[in-house]
Amino acid sequence: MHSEKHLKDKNLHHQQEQVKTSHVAHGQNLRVALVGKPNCGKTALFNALTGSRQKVANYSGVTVEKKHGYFSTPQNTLITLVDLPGTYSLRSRSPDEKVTRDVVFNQFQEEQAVDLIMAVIDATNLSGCLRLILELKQTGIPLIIAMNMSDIARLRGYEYDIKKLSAMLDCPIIETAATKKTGVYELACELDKFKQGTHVHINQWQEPDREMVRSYHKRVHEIIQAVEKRKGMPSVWSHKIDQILLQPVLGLIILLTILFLMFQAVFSWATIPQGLMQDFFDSAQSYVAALDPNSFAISLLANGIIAGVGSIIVFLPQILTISLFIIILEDTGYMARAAFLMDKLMGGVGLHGRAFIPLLSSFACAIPGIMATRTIENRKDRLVTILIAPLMTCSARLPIYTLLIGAFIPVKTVWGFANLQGLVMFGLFVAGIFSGLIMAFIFKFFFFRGDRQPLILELPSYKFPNPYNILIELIKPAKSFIKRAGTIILAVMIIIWFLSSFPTPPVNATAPAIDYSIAGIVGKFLEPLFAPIGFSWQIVVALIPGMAAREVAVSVLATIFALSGSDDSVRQSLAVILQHQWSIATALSLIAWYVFAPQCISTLAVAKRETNSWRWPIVMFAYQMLLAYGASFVVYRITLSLIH
Amino acid sequence: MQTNLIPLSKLNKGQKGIVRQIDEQLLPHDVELEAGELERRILEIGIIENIELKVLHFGLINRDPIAVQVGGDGTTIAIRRNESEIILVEPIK
Repeated sequence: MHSEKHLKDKNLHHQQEQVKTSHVAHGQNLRVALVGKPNCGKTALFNALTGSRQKVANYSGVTVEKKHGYFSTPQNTLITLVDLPGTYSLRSRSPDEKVTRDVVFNQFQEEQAVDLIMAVIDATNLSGCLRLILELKQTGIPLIIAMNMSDIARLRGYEYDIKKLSAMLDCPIIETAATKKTGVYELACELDKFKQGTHVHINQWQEPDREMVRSYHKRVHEIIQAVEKRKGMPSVWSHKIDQILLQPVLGLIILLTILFLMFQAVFSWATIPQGLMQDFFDSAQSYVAALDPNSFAISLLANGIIAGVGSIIVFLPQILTISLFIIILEDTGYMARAAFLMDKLMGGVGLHGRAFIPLLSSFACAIPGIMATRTIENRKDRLVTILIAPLMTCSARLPIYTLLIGAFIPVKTVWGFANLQGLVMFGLFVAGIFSGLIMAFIFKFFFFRGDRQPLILELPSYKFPNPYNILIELIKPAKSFIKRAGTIILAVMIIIWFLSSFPTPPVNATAPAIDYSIAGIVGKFLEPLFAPIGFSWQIVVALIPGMAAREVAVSVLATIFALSGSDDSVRQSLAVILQHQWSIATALSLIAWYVFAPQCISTLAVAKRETNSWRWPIVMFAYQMLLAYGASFVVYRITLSLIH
Repeated sequence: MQTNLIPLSKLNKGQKGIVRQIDEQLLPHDVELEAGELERRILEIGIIENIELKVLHFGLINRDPIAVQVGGDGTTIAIRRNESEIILVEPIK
């Protein structure tokens, strides 16, 4: 019984146990769709009902996440709760909203029909929520209403005649406060009263036009007049906080400070656990490798699997840190404010205010960033955002930047306070952001010409983030990241290990083994192509596996220069070797390359999935390649002419 | 059109007004939406005739976008200056 753990009352718990034993035979299955407008606490209720028993997948054909959760009611009804994206109306404007409608109307072939709709309404904003309820009533599907945030509503002085409201809407209403888990048990009990297959009426829903929206509002107004016993106060705190956070100049400064803190957290605090994990994988690798230096199986395990997957897993702390920031910013209601503050600035290059969040996530990794573009209603706006997301400096570029900056940029204090190396690093971030904005402008101007989409955005009241919710939401990216590392990346690593290990060098070989391998042959074959930008064949070889994960290029370079030892010493000695082997022109050229190059297959794959076509990943690859080659060429040539 | 009506965009910060008319024909710069859609979206989010609006905040550049409080409930909506031109209000002194 999953709902058990939410029960604090021992009596109820006891009753439930009895009920369970007597009704096992009658257990039925129900599919319940969870529907509500954005910011009504729907996700919190979903988490409170199902806990961690959740499954996330994709709806076939569309790119929207399919979130299913499972729990049992006191009378042993097994509930499959389908969490649908927040929506203002059943009609569809974005891919997200289309899914909500299609699930309600049973348009997905792989999905069973929904038996029941659980609609979530915000008790502090009834007038905003009831219109959707009236629309849902039209579908003929039985309805249960969870009147959420009832605790906050009471504090603010709202009082409603719930019985009367329930009668007027002709469906049960349960008061809940999902973040405190009150009312959750009662909600589960209410589901038991429902018998499958009955109650269904004919669907009378039709897409409301503007006059219908007006008449729905009129009806909502009448209902509220009838059931409202006492009018509450708007959230005084939210207004006070907004006085500061939405103040034009101060608000932007605060936003930038939050962003700075976020980067600080990702690039310095998260590196502490990252270092520990790196050490762990390094010692595991050298331990396994030492077991039998001559065995190919051992080599595959140590240098392919442990090194390869390990080099990805170490990014987990960074991904979790940035996810934590984003979840908290979303949970508190700040994200909408960020979109408000940034809208005009981003509009200058033709981006929508909503593009801010996806682009922000792309600094952790372009993959969640591209997935977050789903909230952008307009297809053109969404495509532009997807196309420029990989130009935001993701965390996987850091190992390369760190290596090359460490090797070629002197440690020097400039302007009395700034560290030159840190300044270069910052410059690379800025270069990524600016080129992204310029590309957005170009795409918008040449390929997606058209008028701007409107911005009509609700700024929800501020809320304290709920720790339980944050935890559940944090587990999701962690799970999917680990799964990815364990499947796709693992497979790629094995292939790369194979390509760089076979064919084996002849017995009297003098050069490193990789020279004779397929990877080495390919690298030398492609070298003339990259000679104009100063890349040696070793770099070309490193770039190929770097397609699987950018940071792998570092370890490949290490392999090529035939180094051994722990990773830290490899990095240090690799830097020394590079200083002797490469000119500064080559190094700077490679740095420029990494700012722009489409060095990530996963990003392209996600772009393919999200746009449902090969066209956009190909465009993405092509323009990034051109930018990278162009930038490297310019940097290489300028540096060469400066040296001589 | 009544003569004392002004677009929402003309209200000052802190000023209140009652929505009297929402008319898509007044849009200065076209947004790429089918006819009736912009009006419908504004209605859906809760800005509707005879409701009271209060201008709370402006953005930094050109005082755009605008944040308004809708009705007494305190829902806050952000809307661009351009789109706010179609909302005609009767200012409250």
